Amino acid sequence: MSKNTSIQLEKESINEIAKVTPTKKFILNSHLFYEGQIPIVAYLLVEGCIKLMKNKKIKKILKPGSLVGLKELMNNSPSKLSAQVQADSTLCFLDKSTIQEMIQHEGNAISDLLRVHE
Amino acid sequence: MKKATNSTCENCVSKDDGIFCDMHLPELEEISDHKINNTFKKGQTLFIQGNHPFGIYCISKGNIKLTKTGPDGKETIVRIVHGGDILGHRSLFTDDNYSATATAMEDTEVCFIDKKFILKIIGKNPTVALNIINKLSRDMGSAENRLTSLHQKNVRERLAELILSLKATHGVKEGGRWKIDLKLTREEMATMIGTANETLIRFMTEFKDAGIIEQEGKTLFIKDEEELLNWAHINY
Repeated sequence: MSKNTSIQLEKESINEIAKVTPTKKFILNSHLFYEGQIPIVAYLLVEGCIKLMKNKKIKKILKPGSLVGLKELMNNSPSKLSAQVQADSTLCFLDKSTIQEMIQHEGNAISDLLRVHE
Repeated sequence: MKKATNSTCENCVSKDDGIFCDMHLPELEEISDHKINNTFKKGQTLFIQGNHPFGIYCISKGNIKLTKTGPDGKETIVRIVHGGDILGHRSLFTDDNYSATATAMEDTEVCFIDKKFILKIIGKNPTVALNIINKLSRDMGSAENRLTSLHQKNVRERLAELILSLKATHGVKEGGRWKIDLKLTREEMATMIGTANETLIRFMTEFKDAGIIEQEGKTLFIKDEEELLNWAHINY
């Protein structure tokens, strides 16, 4: 399940996503989503770290370049892990509407990714 | 992967109180297909003060408290929202970060709609925009009333007013009395009227002794609404 929750992106894909989505800094430790929830957006970690947890135990620590929650968001499927972002991390956000717009344009990072993970 | 059972807007228990109440079935189906439906357990946060907003939250079931944390780390409840209310609607018109933290007070069902999609819906259905303006106006009205109360009323009056406002939003008629089952702690109630915990306890006892209210655990009951109205000095 953890391999579905996050995907490690190549630099080219990160740049492509960063061009079309806002990049924001999280000033406090915050939950991006809890176990059993569908992420409200997909998150691309640009700087800092995200902890993937189950039953409050850390399962994985994500590094910059990780895309979290994309599959769950697009499949409307709950995540079996919770994700917590550390304070002062920088993230890009991809909401459902933006992803759907990107899918319609062939040959970009997200449409390719979705095809691979279908 | 197992797909979540996505409850629809048409079947939402708070449909008639929400911003989409005037919409017809085909339009509601479009929202149902797009929205993300989640359950938050008691104590889980929907968003944190200072973070970036992505869209609006539509409360289907349950109560959510909005708290602001001051420089001293002290939390103040600014609003309690429930089924049919929306959160994050200010983010549709400004790019400001969240000014408060939203925390589920009990198991709560919440739908999320991203900003781009809701703006598209508003473009097609101006009544949704009017309903959002209506919510914003009411929020502003209650914020103004609260500010006036803090300046012009004493603690006893403010407490009476708080209990009446909780009755208006969360009260359930039970026999001859109103039940407010919000399970607020004394500390939380004290921050809502800008007073010390001890002062709140003193006036709660006074109201109980006068037969105006009753308490069973954290559940509050209004026995004498008329007397409470007299105390609150509501003149608007």
